[in-house]
Amino acid sequence: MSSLIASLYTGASGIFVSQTAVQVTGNNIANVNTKGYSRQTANITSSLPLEQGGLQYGSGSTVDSIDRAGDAFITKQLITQSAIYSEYDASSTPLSSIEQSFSINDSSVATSISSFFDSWSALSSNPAGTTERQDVIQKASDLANRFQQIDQQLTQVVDGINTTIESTIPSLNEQLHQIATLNGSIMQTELSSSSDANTMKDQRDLLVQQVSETTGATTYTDGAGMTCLQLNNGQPLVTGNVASTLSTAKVNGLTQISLASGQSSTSLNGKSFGGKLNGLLSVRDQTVPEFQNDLDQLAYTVANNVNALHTTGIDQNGNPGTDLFTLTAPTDPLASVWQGAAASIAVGFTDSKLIAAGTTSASGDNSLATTIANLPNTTSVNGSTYAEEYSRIAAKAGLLVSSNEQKLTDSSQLLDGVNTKRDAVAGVSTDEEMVLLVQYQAGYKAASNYLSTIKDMLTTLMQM
Amino acid sequence: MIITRDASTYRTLQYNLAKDSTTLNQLYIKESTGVEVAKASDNPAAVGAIINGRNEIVKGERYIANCQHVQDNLSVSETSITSVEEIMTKAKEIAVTGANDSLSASDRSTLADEVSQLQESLLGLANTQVDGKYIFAGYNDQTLPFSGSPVTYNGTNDHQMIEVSPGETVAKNITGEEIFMSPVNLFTTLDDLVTALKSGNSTTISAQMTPLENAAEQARTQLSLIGNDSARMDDMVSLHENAQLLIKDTLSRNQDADVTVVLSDITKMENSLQATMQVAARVSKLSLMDYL
Repeated sequence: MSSLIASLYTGASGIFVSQTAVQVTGNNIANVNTKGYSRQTANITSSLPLEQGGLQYGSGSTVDSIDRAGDAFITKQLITQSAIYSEYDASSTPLSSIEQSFSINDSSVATSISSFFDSWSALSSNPAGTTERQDVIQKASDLANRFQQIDQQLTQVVDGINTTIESTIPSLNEQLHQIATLNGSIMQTELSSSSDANTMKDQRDLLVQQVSETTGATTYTDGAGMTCLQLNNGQPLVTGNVASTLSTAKVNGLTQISLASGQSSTSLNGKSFGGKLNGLLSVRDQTVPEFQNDLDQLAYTVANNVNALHTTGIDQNGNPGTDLFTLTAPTDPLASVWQGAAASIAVGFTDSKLIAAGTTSASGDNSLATTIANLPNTTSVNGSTYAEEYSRIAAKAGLLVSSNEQKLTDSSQLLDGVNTKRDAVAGVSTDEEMVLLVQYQAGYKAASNYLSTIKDMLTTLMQM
Repeated sequence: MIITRDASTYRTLQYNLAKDSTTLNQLYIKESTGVEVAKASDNPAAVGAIINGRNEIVKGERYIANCQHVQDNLSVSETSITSVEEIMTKAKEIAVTGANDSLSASDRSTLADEVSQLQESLLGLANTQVDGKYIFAGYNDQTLPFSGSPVTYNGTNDHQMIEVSPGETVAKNITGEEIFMSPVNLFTTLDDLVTALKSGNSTTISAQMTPLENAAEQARTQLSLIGNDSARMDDMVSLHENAQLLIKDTLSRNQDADVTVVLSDITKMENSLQATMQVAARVSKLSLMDYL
């Protein structure tokens, strides 16, 4: 026969368990909006039974552990998907800036080119006209300015990306450091108290996700249960409780990232990264140079075609025509001849008398103006006319933006799906918690009633 | 799969509200600007057509202006050349009169004076100036083209070519050489008539009729050439104007928004946004706590 005193303890365990469970539920409700928080559950088991008189009596319940809901597979998916989303998200702003530079409205280079050659056509009908001559110079300078402006806009895109990278790295280092510290703390906590370091694990998961969003780093768990991070190329970011440090330095106007791990330091390029940094670096190191090259080639071809014809003419002073456009040749002998053309294109003179409208000094000679006005009909850039070439560049920018937008939408939908899956497993539902609260409250009440019954019984016993 | 309202539902609602609002905003912009393709990414495939369209419109307008410019210049030349033709016809009439045997020497001298006056007028016509430029001087349009005795031509034999359609140019001027000097020299023809009239020999005077007729014919040939070119310019202008309409139509088709379609899209999107908002409002009302 069991003792009434033992029954008292059984009742007390019920009260204790309900209290703990209410505490866990309360914590869940309090964290309903905490980012990265995983729902916790009190894992209630029955206590070891007592044996007396050949019978086994249950001795109440106990909270064995407080578990953290989670699914390693979903966590991994979330990390991967966040990195993909961040990559497209990071590319979208600089890509739209590039697209804006290569606009298709009336302020585009194509419009400036067509206005410039139109002014030559106007000059052909009045070759000695001062107004027409000044208009040619004005339109030439508009065209040169437009090329320079776009070149500057592209440089600004690069500058913007450099600044973003520079401001990203310090917080990334801080996150890596925190992950390494948490790795150590989690291991210590779990070793010393044999309980789960749930909150710290949540924090670590969130940090890992943030680091992966920035760098596309992949994770693995080492033998000691520590979360380790490494870059695409295998370079370690966090190994156990040791974090590597990333640093930035300007090389030729571009911010370069290098990784210091222990004593060694490696410089990293876009291929080392995924996520936000890859999105930014690929625009800066591949997309922008490509567009800059296209723009330079167009500026160079227009300027050289016009100059080649203009220098065959005779100006109003009777002198041979000089270059209408001036360009600065690239200093690097290996670079393409047109490198830097868009940045350096300028009008060679401001005196309208220096325009050569014809090939003789006769005042009515309009032959050269007619020839130059016809230049836009010739296919001189990559087998296309100037307008076709510009369309190709603008359409390329448009395609990049629209395909990036599409990828961004797709990946954000996928990310939303993974987040929903994560919420289903680890998210807090207040309704569910309320039901649990009612359940535990009832358990508490019942255990209390039971205790009071035992107390009555003890009193009865004592009064005998 | 359990859908946790606090996290999933609200996040999904938030996502959809943001998405619908963005789409709606884009539609509002489309409707108010009337432009479907404002940037290349709106429809990369249409970029070529749009840039080309804008370019063609600028070029087309210039070609029309050039055609009209050519026509204006030709019609000024036409007026002068018509007068030249009249002078030569008049000179021929004088020759016919002068060849009459019944005429006295003084009558013929009067006729010779009349021809000299015609010669003056001819020189004036040959040096016609428009806008300070000599129209029968080729490229040397700021130098007096005809002067001296005998009259010599100081202009050039160049035509000012104007582009009137891609790769096609038309001369906007007739050179002094073509109309006054070769093959028939109008000035020496009149000189010869004066000399013949002064000589008083009716045979010599009659001999001048053929060169005079040739001279008038030379003017008429140029007039008919001008007429042809002028008519061609008319055709060219209407051709370009029709092309402009087509290009503008194509450009609009590629670039402009179909306002009706956009409006109906807006209505659809507004309904969808409203529904999402209603759902959000309902979801937030549902709580187990109300019943506990």
